[in-house]
Amino acid sequence: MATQIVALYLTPTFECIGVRCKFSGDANQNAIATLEYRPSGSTYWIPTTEMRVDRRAAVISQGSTIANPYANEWRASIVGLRRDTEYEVMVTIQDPDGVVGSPISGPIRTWSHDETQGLGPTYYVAPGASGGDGSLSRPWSLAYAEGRAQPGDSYLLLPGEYGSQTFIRSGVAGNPITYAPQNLANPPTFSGQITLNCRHVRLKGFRHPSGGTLIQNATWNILEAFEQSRRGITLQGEVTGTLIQDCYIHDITENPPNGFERAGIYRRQGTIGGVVIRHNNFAQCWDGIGGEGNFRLDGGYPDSDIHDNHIENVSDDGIEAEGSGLNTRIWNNTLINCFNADLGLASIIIGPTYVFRNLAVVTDPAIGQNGYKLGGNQSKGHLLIYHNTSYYTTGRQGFTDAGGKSAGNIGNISSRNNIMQARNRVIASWGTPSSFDNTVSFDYDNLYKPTGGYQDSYAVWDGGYYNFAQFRAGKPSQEVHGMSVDSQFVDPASSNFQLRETSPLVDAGQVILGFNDPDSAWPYVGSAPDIGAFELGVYVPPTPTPVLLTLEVAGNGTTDPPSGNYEYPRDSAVTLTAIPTAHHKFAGWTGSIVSLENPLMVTLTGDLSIVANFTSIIFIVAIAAEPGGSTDPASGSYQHQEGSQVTVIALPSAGYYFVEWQEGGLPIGTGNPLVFVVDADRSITAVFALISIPPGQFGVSITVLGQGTTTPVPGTYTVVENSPLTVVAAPVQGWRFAGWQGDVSGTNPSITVQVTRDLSIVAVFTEQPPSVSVGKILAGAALFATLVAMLRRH
Amino acid sequence: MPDLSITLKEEEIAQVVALLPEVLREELALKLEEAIRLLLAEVP
Repeated sequence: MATQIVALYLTPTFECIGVRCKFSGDANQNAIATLEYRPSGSTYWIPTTEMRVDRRAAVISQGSTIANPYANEWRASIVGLRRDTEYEVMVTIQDPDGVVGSPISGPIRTWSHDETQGLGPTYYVAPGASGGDGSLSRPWSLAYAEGRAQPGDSYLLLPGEYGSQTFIRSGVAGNPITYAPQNLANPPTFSGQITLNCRHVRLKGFRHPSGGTLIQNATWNILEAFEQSRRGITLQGEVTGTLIQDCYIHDITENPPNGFERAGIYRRQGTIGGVVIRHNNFAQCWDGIGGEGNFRLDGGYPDSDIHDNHIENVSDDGIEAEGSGLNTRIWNNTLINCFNADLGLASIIIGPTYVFRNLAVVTDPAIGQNGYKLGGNQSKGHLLIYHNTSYYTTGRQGFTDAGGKSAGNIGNISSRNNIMQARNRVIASWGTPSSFDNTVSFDYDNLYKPTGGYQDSYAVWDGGYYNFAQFRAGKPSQEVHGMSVDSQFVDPASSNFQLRETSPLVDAGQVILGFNDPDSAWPYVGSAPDIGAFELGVYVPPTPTPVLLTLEVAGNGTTDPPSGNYEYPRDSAVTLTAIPTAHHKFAGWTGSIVSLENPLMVTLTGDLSIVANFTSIIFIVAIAAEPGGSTDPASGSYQHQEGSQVTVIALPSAGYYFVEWQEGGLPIGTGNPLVFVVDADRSITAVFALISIPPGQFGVSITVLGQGTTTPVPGTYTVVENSPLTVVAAPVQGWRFAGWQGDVSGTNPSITVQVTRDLSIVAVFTEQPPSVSVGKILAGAALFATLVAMLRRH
Repeated sequence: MPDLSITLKEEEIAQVVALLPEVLREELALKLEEAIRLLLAEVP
């Protein structure tokens, strides 16, 4: 009972991806599958088109029951994608009995050859030319040019009649061979048949008034801007990657090459590979776009896109996409006065086929027949009909079983958000019991039949004739959310089928993933999608709420932008720069982001609070004293901030004198004290020497601390034993003598000692406090005297 | 914290001083006399 995923098949076009997820098991048929995708590199999986399951062991092709080659698959198309873009696609299957291999995902790139240009040289071609060199003045013949063509070549065809031509030589992917008019105002004419049996060839701008075009076993070719008449274009054999665009295909009165109907574009049965038919203009054909394999598994337009075509005044179907219908997408086409049907969809054998946002209009009173011809061979491949607008003022019926009217042979059709405005029946199912089985579902549509017209009844179903109320009451699962009202188009007479703002269809549709949700290419405006092909209003993506950046500074420094609160659009990239003040360094970002990078680039996916941290630059000052003295501060290692001032005093012991400061064994000065500003690690040593003393004499060192001097001046002296030595201390301006240290003491600036041993005499000066006026001193003394009087009063 | 910027009148200072023990009052008086001597010594 469990499901096992077997394989995931992804088939792209420029704007769509066909998805097939093959599975085994799930005999009790209770699994469900969901489809998601994302542009490669994105982290957000976009939920998209509902997957449809195909468990049929057999299908009916051309009246015979044959094995279903697509049995046991979940399938869907992702639509509205970007060309030349890498996507990842993921299918997730849930089965209460267990799943093996889910989810399954894979990469796929959408097509890009529509914009590929040849990289090679350009040559010129003229009818009947010979012996030239391919230049404008000496062009080649087309037969010669085609026979020598290399990938990347471009051939410009001078005006004239070229007859027929078979194109055999191929370009390569990314480097096609191009044939185009030399004079756009006077394009080359081909009265005979044009045959493509080549790859990566681009034919552009030919007048082709007679012979028809056969694209046979030819892949990745582009046919564009043809004016094609009398005979149409046939697709046959392997034609993967064929793009037919911007052509005017009209007045097709003869069968196209190998074709059996006078279609504008005709696809033969058994033809392989997806094609894209877009932006063409069809008029006066049999089918606009059709083919021969209507009831065959190998017919139709599998893995193909038919979109943005204008099809007018054709004799049979506007677009006849019958056959396998495997991942066929038909959208944005305009179908005007197509005689037999707008869309021939009888039947879809494999599916799913998506028909969406097409406009069909019939105003020619001679035209009745069917809008959507549904059918009809019991195979019941899925057909999804979304957001189409149909407007018929004639006897045309809406959705009909014209492709097969026997009971119960039409199924797996969902109609949503469509407008079907007809003066005949909007739904016509003639089988009894109904040809529509209970898997045919109409809902959220506006199926409107104004009073009067060609028939009284709104719908025929199951042998009964109904008005709208009776239809809903009699078919309780149909159009539960639907309506039957005037759509209020802006101006049908001018082919403007936009809704008026007052239309009850505005915001009355159903959200359909992939086709109208905000992540789709057709995001709805308002509270819900509008019914019909044209959404009212312009979609404005929601303004993302801004994100808040809070920037703070800790320590001595600034930032760019400066600290504060800032609002930015979500997903903005902001560069933050930390700028330390002098003698400080940047120590990293903290808060929402921890990083040492500077500058720091942040992407604001949410609110951020970031602190720029700065710290002082610290250096180590190592102080040492060699024998014979000490230092103040004492020997050791000290931390100092960069830029701070350090004072080191050398204090010689008795009998020694201070010689110099050294660093790294080299002298750096003799001043004492040593004063310096810290800008690096330092290792400073005070060097002392023994005072050299003759016999009968003693060594006396005189040292000054602070700012002042002595008489005799500071230095080392030898003094005869027992003789008196007088030293006088004299401060500089702003300093005063504070006393003697070393081997002497006292505060009298003049001192006399009897030298009976080695002496170290240190005169200490201290900075004078700020001067105070005599008046203030006397006032202070008076205040104290007052206090004394008070203290004594008690 | 008390407001240190309050200016006391002379009789108010007397009221505060009266709160001190007598021994401490004498001690303070002697120290203040010493301070007065030192201050006056600074006067040129």
